[in-house]
Amino acid sequence: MTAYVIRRLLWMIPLLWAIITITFILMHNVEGGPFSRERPLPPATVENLNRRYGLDKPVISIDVWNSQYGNYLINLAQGDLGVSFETDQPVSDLLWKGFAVSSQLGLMAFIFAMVIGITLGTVSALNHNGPLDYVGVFFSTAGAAMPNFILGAFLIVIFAVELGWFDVLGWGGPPWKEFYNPSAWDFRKAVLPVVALGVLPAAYFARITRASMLEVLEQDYIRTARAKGLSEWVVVVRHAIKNAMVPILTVMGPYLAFLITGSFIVESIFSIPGVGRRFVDSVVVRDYGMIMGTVVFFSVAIAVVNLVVDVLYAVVDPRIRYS
Amino acid sequence: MSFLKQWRYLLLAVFAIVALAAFAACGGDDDDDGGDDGGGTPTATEGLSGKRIDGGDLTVQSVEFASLDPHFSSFAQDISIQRMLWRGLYTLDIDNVPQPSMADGEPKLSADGKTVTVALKSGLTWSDGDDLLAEDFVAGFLRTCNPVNAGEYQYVLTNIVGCDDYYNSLAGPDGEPETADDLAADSAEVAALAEAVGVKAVDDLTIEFSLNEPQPTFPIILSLWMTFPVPVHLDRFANATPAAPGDWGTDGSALAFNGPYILTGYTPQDSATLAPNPNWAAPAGVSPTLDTITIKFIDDLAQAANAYRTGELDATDVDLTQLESLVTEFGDGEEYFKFLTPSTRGLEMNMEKEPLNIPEFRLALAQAIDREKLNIAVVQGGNEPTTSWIPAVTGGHDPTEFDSVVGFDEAKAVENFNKAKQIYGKEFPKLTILVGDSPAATATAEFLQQSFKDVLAYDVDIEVVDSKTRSQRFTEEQFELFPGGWIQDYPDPENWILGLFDTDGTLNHYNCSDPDIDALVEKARFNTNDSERKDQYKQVNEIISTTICGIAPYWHENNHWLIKPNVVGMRENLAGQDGAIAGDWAAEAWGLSE
Amino acid sequence: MAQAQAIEQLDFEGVAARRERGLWSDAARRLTKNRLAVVALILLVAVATLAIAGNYVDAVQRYDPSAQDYDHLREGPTWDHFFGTDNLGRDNWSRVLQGLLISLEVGFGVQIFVLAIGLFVGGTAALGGRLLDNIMMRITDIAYAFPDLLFIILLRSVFQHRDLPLVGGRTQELLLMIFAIGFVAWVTIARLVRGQMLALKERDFVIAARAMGASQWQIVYKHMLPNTLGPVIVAIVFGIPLAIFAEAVLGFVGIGLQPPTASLGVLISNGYRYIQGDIWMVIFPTSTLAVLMLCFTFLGDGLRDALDPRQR
Repeated sequence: MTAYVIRRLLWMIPLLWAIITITFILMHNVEGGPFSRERPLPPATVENLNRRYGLDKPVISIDVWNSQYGNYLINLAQGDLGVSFETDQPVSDLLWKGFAVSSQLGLMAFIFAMVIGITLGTVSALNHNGPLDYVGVFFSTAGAAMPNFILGAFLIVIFAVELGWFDVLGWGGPPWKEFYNPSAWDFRKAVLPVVALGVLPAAYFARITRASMLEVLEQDYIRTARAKGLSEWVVVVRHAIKNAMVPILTVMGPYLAFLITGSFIVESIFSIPGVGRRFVDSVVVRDYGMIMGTVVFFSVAIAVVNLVVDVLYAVVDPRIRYS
Repeated sequence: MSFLKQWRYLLLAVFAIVALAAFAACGGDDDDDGGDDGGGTPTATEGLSGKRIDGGDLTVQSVEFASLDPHFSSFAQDISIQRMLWRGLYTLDIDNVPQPSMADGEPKLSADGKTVTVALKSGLTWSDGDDLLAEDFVAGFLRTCNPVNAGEYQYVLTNIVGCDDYYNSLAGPDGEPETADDLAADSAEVAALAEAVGVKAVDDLTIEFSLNEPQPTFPIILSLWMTFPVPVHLDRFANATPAAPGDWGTDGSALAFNGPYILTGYTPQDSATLAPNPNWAAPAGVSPTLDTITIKFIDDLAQAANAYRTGELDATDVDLTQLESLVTEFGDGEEYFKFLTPSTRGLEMNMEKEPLNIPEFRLALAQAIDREKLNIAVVQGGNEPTTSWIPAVTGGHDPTEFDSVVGFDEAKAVENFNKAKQIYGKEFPKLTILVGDSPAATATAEFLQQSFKDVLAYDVDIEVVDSKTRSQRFTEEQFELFPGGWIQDYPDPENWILGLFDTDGTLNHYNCSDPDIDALVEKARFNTNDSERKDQYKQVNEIISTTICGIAPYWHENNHWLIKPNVVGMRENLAGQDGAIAGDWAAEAWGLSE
Repeated sequence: MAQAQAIEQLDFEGVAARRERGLWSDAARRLTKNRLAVVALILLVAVATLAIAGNYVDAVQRYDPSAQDYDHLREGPTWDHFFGTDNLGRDNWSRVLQGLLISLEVGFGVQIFVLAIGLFVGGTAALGGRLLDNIMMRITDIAYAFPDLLFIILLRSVFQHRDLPLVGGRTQELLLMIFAIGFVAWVTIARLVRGQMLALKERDFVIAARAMGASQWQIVYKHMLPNTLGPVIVAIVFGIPLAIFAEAVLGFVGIGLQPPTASLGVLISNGYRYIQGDIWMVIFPTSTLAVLMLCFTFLGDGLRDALDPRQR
């Protein structure tokens, strides 16, 4: 197991290198540079700006270590992600601040999706082909049929503007150390983004739960339990849900990684200072430092979360063996 | 602690009295001059029945600033917040006339007009209590001219002796970067060039400027952000060298301020918070009454309108796609306000691309654009249709002045088009409109495409690119037709002509080349007779507008704001240097009423 | 992302074991018994017919989708304009029909691209020996680790404004979009194909065929490919709406298809800005997209059930 984890971690290094190199080449081939302005800057200013941000060196050259690419790798190896050209601030600072917000929003949306999804899926399965089942199926398909920027826009118009129940700007979560203190939360700001982000995974989890439960309920051991005269409640909670959870667990890992690394759309429409907006924004303004920073950040984050999830599977399910 | 609290209340009370007095005066002024030149645009939030109250928290929308360093940045949203935190020697009043701010009286000129001396008010202090002296201002000019700091608005200071030489020094004597004679920023040569910049502190309260040529607009320059002072008493600026000018940063607690407010907080992508500067030397007698200002960074204006509706914002910019419904919802003059901005947009034409070199062809295109309909269809009537390049308020012509020559006229357009066809002698090639990817921009291009098709039976293509690609193509002159324009840096007609329409102008990317324009610019450039100078620029405007020398103007832009009825003091002048935040001409006057 | 999950939930262990002829006819029979899937299929055919007719039959299209009418800006539905008009006075009905066809082209185009790459990479990995397997799977790893949206944006920004030889204009625009979305979506299919084929290699009937002297190509063509196809088809059907969806999201991000190519995604992200004043501009394209999503989902469900041996 330890050997497996080490091997996976080591594999991340060439993986990251490949991703960095691809991004570097692509990025510098995008038309327009960071200093292309609506009002063109004088050539002398562009020269000075290039010097200021180290862009006067060749992107990649034979003399690798005297190129932007080589410099980036050296700095990265020392843990330095460089400076964002657009904001003139350290990339790592901006990413961490954004991640602190995005991870909270993502985690809450994940919890929301699990609770709603599993409940709906279970209720649907227990009422197979009954009216409640149709309601559940309808929700879980309809929830996935609308882009979430439209969903978010409607949530805002209905619940914030018309009904006045919620705010529309920013994220209401406290600093992480006060995460468990409900009074530190601003629920007027926290509810709508969580719903907007959580509906899609909730619908998806509901579909899987329903399918999984239906299958489990057909199994012999459930029939046996029922035959023994156990109450329906005990059968469902003790036996069915527990066994139906395995396929749900296998899909939730990647989804968790996806949610906590930030959503461009939800963060944009609620003006949330998260990390999800960073990448798109940085590409738009050709903020080379920030583009590389977000690529490295997302790649590492996704790889690490996937690794953690794989390890957890092995812990939860002893049948899984990694070699 | 309680002592401090009481002290603050006392101070606020004094502020309030002073502010009220100042306000009564200002309000009166506006009624007088609002009519004759349209310079000042009051928001009508003055003189409402509600009385101005002490304190209060105001939340306004803006786009996030890129940098707080006034000697570096160039975006309107940067300048807006910088003007709340720092001020220069002069400041533009509501009519765009420079008035002393940190300076004591008018600048004094030498006989040849090339030496300008400015006296500083005595007893000025930074927000942290340190003295504000001449050396602080001198350091500001040096930072802007510093090649390592790479100030994006250095070109405005080009007339100061030695500023260009210092700024261009790193490329070495040959002026070419990446060659053997490039200079290192810490070399003695560069230090000598820094030393030679013509801005000197004669004593603690006197600054002397050496100019290459007499410059009538110099006092206006002295009000601009790139001339703001540097708190050199802070360690990182005190030890500044040409190679290490010191990092301005975004941490308010590590900076000092000489403007009406201090920066108390900043969260990237979210907001900045400001509080009154206790040491603000109110030049016009106006001091802040608010407890805090929160500037919320919101790009999506539809989102901002919703936040305004829910009460999370007190003032916001308006999305033109929603203009009609918002005006109906909030009432013109009640919560919705419109400010004319000193900006012009039009269809720019690269005159080096055939057949755009044929005057009749350009004229035909200009006459095929129904500017009224364009304005209604694309921005719901939000802008001011025009045929004049320089806005009337900055010494140009009336928007309708040239309508009969280049305005919408189908018959004339066809006539000119046919003339151009004869001159060209073969089928016109298909031109392409290069346009940015914002919805309003693409809609404009689609409108123009349809217009040329309907009026001239001439097909053009549209190429939509993102903003950076668009800018790069423009700079490299890789375009044919290009909806673009200009927003003025400072309120003088020269800012609309110099470098933009003279044959060798660095920003003349549409390749307008007209001997008459060149001759007039040559005469006007250092003409110390102000009215004659302005008249010469006005003549240039007429030539540009009537011959479509590079651009067919279609509208002057308005800024549109929603402002809560209990907000007072939000006003705009037409300087065009800020304007990213509602009514931020003098943010020190902002307040809340009952 | 979502696509990856949609396919991970499918379990095709047993599918492979059956002989192909029985599989297909059984599946078809079972599919026709699934009312929801049949309705979805009929609806899809109807919508696709409407989309094609709406682009090539004037009586259905009624207006030129790019013709602007400044006397009818942002109007609600009327008998003249079934879906109202947009911000430049263009007819929303013809615009939605045009967008529908383009979105379908994107959806199917992406899946064709994904299928080609996925079959090639997955097949090579499974059948090409250890070294090729390793190389292919490492490439897959990189593509998988690369954040999707990010790659699409970069790729499109790089290639968007280059005039490619042979194609141009709308076709180039469309191909680039298909290429960009497809490029991040092929990984799942590749892994699915590889997994299926590796499992099939060890099956009795394949071993038997090999023992009887069938060539490698015969085995692949006759036994492995048909048995792999079932789960792949399901994955493709689920993938179509996801690709359409992805294109809509790109439209919101501001890097969707450029005018005059207006997909449903472009119409939605354009209409999104008018959600408060002129809601019609967003309602109709959104509903159309939702219908597509629902139909493909139900059809996919039906296909999966039909191809799932456990329900036998």
